[in-house]
Amino acid sequence: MLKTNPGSGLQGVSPPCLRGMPTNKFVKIGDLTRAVCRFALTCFHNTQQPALMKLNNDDIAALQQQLATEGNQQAYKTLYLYFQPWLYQFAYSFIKSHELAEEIVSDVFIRIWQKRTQLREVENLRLYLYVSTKNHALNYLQKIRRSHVFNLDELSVEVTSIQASPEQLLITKEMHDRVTLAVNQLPLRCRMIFKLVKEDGLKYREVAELLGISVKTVEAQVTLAIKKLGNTIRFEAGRSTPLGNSTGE
Amino acid sequence: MSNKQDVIWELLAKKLSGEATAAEQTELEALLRQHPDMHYAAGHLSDLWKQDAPVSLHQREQAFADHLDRMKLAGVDWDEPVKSGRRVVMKWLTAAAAVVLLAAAAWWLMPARNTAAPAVAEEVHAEKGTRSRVTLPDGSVVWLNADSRLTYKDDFNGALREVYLEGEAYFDVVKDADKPFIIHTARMHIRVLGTTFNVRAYPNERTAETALIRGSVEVSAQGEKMRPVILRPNEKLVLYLDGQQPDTINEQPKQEFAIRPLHVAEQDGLPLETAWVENKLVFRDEAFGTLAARLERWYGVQISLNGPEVKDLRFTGRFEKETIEQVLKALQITAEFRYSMNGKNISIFQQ
Repeated sequence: MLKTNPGSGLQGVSPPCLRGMPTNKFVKIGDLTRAVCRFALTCFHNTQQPALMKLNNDDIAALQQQLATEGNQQAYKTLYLYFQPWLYQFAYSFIKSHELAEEIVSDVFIRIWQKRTQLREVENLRLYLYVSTKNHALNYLQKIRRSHVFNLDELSVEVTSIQASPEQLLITKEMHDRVTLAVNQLPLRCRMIFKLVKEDGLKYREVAELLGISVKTVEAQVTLAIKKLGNTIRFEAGRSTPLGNSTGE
Repeated sequence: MSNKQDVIWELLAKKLSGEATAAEQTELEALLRQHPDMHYAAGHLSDLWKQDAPVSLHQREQAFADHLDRMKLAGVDWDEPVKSGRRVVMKWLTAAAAVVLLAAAAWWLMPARNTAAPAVAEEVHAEKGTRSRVTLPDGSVVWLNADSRLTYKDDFNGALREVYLEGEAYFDVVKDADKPFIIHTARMHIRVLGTTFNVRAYPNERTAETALIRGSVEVSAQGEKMRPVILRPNEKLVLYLDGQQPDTINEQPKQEFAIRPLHVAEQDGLPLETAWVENKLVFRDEAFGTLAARLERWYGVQISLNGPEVKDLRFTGRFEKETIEQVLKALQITAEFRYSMNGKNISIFQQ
């Protein structure tokens, strides 16, 4: 039986007030048990955790195979860890809600686990995951606004990988700021396509299929992004070196 | 000239995207030789392209843990051991080693312990006017608000982690997928796997609440026809007890429960529901009737409301270090009432 001291008011109760903490043997044994379990878990981890996070298509196919044939939980986890951030960002661009976007990706992966034996028939797991995420997101949107269409010009994403720190690339702060600004000023459609190709590693034809546009459009949009960023860099470089050609035109 | 530049950008885009053929790559190199002013930008863009987006492994692991919680709550069969091969042998060996270690540890530490001892209830109690914090045997931390009582049995960390709550508590539950953490209150049962949330279940209040901060919880109500509800972060379930209807006008009548978003304070972006954990007394558009009960618990005082209209006065406020007198004086600024104070007894009168 533990009782805290009756206090007379708010004063003297400092956050977070530590009181009434049981310190019997039971607790200590509990702590030790946890420590041992944690140790054991660490051992599991080290024997099973493959190196993250660069997976090429062959790696993905191998993991897909392990998941489909053996129900390998580690393969499942590796795929989840690899795809989750990108699918989440993709879902978020539709839904604009962190919780819902997380939930959508979770739902997609729950289905992957439930239907894992059927994964053998999936030819392109990456594209399959993106299409599933899009469909889940559109189903959500349909519930909200009874519409199953989406407008590519309204899907906004952030391209965080372009905003590298100046130290990493030996560039000036001004250059960094200019490039970041240029990325943020890309039209939404362009930014989305650029991100899917650059960060998510999708092929032109995969992006085309995913977004229901032509490969030519994808190509044109990635080129547009590269051109705008490239010209930003040329202009900024020309500004900072007096001998440079300021516009290059 | 600018046509050639466009070709360079297009080929560079293809090259970086991994879409360029060998011929296109050769063409790009030749064009760049003819346009040295494009070298720097092309090189710099290539460097930028290689940069990865910053998503930490920790964040991904956290997302996966949340995902497993969600899977369990959805009743998806995850713990299906369908494995073969050497890895599994390693895993079993490690597990066996862990078991041996555990047994040895138990042997070492428990010789005097009577294994047949009946389950003894541990009780933690926060009196009126106090709050307290307790760490449970599994490492989970519970903050108890004033006039609240948390009990658990000696075998708490066995197959289940079960606690009983009367009053209000904020839980930060340690993840353990094999041992669900269950909180019983008079009218609600909350089942969690590892998460942070606030439960409010004072016997003298007309509503009981479970407010989720992160993770996910499943709430079911005692004796109601209601199916278990799974809450999402920043949602709360409000249970209207004894068919009582809520005392604000715009509520839907005849509801047994409702799911609401948490109230987030403008000052710090933190939910009102858990402000008490930070020693803040926060209320929003609250009737004097219920607020008085809150003040009684918070300050350990007795408050009597005299006159029919006093209990319907509504207040919004936020207090941290103020005394009960300072609070009453502050409340008098927004509504007309008088009070008299005699030790711990306070009487409120209509103006």
